[in-house]
Amino acid sequence: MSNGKNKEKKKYNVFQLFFKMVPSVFGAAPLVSTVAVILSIAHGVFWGVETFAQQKFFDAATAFTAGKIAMNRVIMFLCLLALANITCQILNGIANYIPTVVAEKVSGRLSIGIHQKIARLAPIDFEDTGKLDDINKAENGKNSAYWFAFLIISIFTFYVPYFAFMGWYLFRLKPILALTILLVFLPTAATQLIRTKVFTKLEDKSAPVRREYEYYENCMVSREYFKETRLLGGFTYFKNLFTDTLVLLQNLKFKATMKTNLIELGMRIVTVGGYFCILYMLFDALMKQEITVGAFAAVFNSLGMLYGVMEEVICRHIGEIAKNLGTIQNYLNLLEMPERKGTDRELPENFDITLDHVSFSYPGAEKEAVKDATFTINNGETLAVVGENGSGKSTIIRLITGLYSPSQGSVTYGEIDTSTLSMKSLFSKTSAVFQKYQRYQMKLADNIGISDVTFPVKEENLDDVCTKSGLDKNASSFSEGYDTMLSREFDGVDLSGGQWQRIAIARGFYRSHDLIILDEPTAAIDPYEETRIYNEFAEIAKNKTAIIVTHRLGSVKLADRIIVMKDGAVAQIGTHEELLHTDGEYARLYKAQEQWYREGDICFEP
Amino acid sequence: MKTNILEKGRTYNLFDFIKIPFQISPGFTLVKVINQIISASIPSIQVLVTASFIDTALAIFHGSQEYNSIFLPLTGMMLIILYNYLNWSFVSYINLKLEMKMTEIFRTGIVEKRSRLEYRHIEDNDSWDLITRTCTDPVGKINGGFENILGAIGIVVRVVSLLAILITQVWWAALVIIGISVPLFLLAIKGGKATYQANKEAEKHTRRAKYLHNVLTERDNIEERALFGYTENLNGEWFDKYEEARKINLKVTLKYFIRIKGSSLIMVVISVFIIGVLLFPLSNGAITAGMFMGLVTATLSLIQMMSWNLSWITSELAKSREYLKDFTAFMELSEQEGALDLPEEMERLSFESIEFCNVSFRYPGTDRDILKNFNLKIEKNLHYAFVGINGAGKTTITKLLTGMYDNFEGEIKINNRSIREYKQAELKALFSVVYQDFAKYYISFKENILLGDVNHTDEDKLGDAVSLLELEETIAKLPHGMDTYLGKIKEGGMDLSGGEWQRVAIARALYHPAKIRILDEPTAALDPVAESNIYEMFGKISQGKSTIFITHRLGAAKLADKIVVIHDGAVAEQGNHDELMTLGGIYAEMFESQRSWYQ
Repeated sequence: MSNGKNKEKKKYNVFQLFFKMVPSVFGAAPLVSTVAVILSIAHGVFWGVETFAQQKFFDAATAFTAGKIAMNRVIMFLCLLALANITCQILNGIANYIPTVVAEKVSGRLSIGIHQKIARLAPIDFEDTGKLDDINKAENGKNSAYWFAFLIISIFTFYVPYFAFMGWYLFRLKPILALTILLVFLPTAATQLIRTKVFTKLEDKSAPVRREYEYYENCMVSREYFKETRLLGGFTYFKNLFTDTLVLLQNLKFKATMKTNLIELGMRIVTVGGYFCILYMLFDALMKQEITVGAFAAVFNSLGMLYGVMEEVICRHIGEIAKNLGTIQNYLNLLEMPERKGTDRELPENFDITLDHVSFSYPGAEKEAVKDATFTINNGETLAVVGENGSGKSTIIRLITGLYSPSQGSVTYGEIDTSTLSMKSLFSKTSAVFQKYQRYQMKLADNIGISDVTFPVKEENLDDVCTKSGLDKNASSFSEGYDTMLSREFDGVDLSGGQWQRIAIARGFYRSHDLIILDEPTAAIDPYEETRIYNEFAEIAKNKTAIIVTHRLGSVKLADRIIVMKDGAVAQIGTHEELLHTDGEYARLYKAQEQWYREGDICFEP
Repeated sequence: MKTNILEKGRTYNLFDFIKIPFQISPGFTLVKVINQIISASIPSIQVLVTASFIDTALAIFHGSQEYNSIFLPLTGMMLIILYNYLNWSFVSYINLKLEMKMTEIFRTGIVEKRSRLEYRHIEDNDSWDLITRTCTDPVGKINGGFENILGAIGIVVRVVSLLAILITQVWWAALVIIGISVPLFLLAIKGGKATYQANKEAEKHTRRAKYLHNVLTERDNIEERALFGYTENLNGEWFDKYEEARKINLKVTLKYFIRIKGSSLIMVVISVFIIGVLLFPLSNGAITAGMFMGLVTATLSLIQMMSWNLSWITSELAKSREYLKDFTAFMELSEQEGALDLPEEMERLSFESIEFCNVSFRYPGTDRDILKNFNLKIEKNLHYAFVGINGAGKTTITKLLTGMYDNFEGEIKINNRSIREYKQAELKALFSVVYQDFAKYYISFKENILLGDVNHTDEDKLGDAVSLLELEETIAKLPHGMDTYLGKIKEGGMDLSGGEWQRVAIARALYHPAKIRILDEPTAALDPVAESNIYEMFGKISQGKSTIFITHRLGAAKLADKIVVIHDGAVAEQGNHDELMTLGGIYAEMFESQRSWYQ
């Protein structure tokens, strides 16, 4: 996407964002929000009223010292001042409390929406770095989006009423004093504008250095590197790199911060200039006796607040929003991301799976991960997919299951093109044990039952799949049987890699299926187990379509046919016997492994 | 590093937030404290200046003073404005300088402390959490604590200086304020703590919700999430947890606001009372109109400050205190002597044998024996293969040999001398290990290998390692040859494939002058051809050295002079391939099971 196009999209969306957010804010808590708006306006006005009350009280006090009015009249004005103050404090409390309450409520609702939206995306979107960035940052963006909408609302319901009241009040005192608002606003806004610019630049410059510096720190102290760096005696080496980049980073930061500080100093001098102007106007009006001493004192006192509030809205709030605009954009992008469409359709009782000239490349990749694959998987067949790392085994599995749709060609289940099906229908008869299987930090029962949530977890079903996958629920590690929480973090137990693997396999078996995939899940299992699992798998898969992905060729003999992948293309298809006796990729791979188990000696010479 | 900044065996307290920066940069710290005191007394000075200005103005109106006399207080007002606005630049300069010094000394000190820790703290989840918590932005945390304390000092100075003025005017009003604000202050502190506690309660639910949220959104889960279609169900569960946490937070926040605003209202009442009382001295001329207005303004502005700032600072201080607890515990963590030492010069060391005598071992904090009465003798220039099922204790042996753990029972002797008598530097020199999860250092290709021997650079040996591992082709493809940066940290860095990284790691081990080389299951994630290659390469680098090869792929074990079958933490069988096959025990059974795939 070109830069220009990107920017255009951004601008359009920020406006849209506000109108999108407002209904969800009010929708989550309509009554509270409406009350909040009204109270917010009152809150803004009352800050102004307080200044006004102060002036009235000061005037009364001055008159009182001059003996012009009686004590009880002064006390009456004092009571008014107190009332204004108390109202202000109460409104201030409510005005600060309600948004936090609404924020959390709205946040929950929006999160539900995010989760649902993510479930409707095509899985391939997670391979697209741009989209993945949107997905990952949407959660933070959602909160920023809320606060953005809230800020816009409060500008109109709090800040505008406050400044309007103050403007009106100052105008009433003396028309020229209304200029004060402008003198407060201009320098503050200008400062913020410049600050944002300079800091963005600094961040761009120092981000790579900081990354480097943090990386060298990790080389010394992170779990990933700790033991190796220590054993190699590499501390000094990394310490030096760490110190060097630190100096570099500090210099960058110092220069940039000094620069911004100087600019900001300049801006502050302008602000002070404005302040002096106001002070002069007040002073002038006072000396000409156009305003009272009380008015002078009250206005002079409120100037700090005027500046403070202006700074709050412009620097803190708008600055914060500007900083978070990126993640808000991420959130919006997620909401607008195209979903995986398709119709709900019942899959036929039995079906063959046909790949017709299927090609596929990952988003942003030039090379095709799968090239022109054509073959048919017969109903009830056990198929093995083998090949070297990076040959496209996992990708072709994702195409067969329909997790990915082909870039070219088609995958059909019987007569139905998989790319026209909804995900729900498409996956209704498929189960899988993935290479990257999950270790859910949940109870054992849920860890297995999560693969099929169409009905509540039943113990006899669990027993059945546990037996098949070799998982012993009575083992000492499962202190509470199926109710054992499998996570130390949530007050449960830690399992070994082997146990997790068996859980993953049980999970795959638990889901009702006609097609099942076993994608190399045995890497961490010892040889004993491995043989057993493959045999068990073959047994379970007897009457169903099954696909095994592996690079341990010994275990694929139980498959009816074997597909050999090489560089994304289907290199060979055939039975074990056929392929073994053909001079090709399969024979080469097989021999590489088999030699270690051949009878007699292997020489171990270079 | 000034050692007295990071001290072990003492409890850190709030005072350390000043002490630590002070030790690192006494000048800047002092300037900050003084500046804060001045800034905090400005509002009180402003009371005096404003009072003088108003009184002068009134006097001019009454004709009792010259017009020109107004300019002195006016200048005073201007100076205050000037200070308020321009002091910021000064403070931010000081902050920057101080932060730089802190980063340079304090953060580096923390990194060193971390690097010296005993290895068990790194593997133990609880202490690892502690380490992560303590070492995430430590400078920010200390600075934050310092700022909070300055804030507290500011509040105190502001109140005290105002009281001082009040005392000179109406002394008993000052006493009333003290009498009422002290309990308010204590209440705020207590409130801060309560909020912190309640947050912890909600934290449990929040953590669970956060976890479920990750399951629902992360890329890692995408395949299972799409296929199994569990989003709707988990979403409901997520929402329950979220709501539970939200409701707790709601109550806490409500209490917090009521407390803050409650105390504000009390403050308003007190202020109004004081103002009312001040009317009497005002009426009899004991205080001037200007002073009266100044005092009224100052008292009213205290309300807003006392409500928000005070409660904010107290709750922040409570957090800072929690950090100090972590920090104290972190400083308590035991260190490994000689952890950062360079490996000993190889010439001074020899290797004859390693002997395990009745070694039993369990990981700290667990109750399962990983090794039980483990007995084994390893002799020089022989190749050993350790085989056994997962969890049998194979990898643990490596950790004991390299001195990562020394809390075992029994005795491990290297050259008939207890391993506990060896210095870290000596152990580092004796062993080189290629771990299953070997490190991919994002430094230059060359440095990646040279790290194998940090004491010497030997171009010939480097060339040998490169050619033995057939890395020439990989190097040829890199834009700057061996000087190319690997990984994505440096700009223009290149990434290698998994197999290439693995060969680099083995080349590093080969470059290492160690007498004993250990290869810990490096082939789990490799395809058959690559696996086969690794076995062959390891054969090459093993020559003339003692090697230990840990594996559960038995085919490769055949190459070893001696195969050690580890079962349930003890040596179950040992001998060469033929002997063990004849024995017909565990090894024979496992080997047959694997061989059956290829028959």
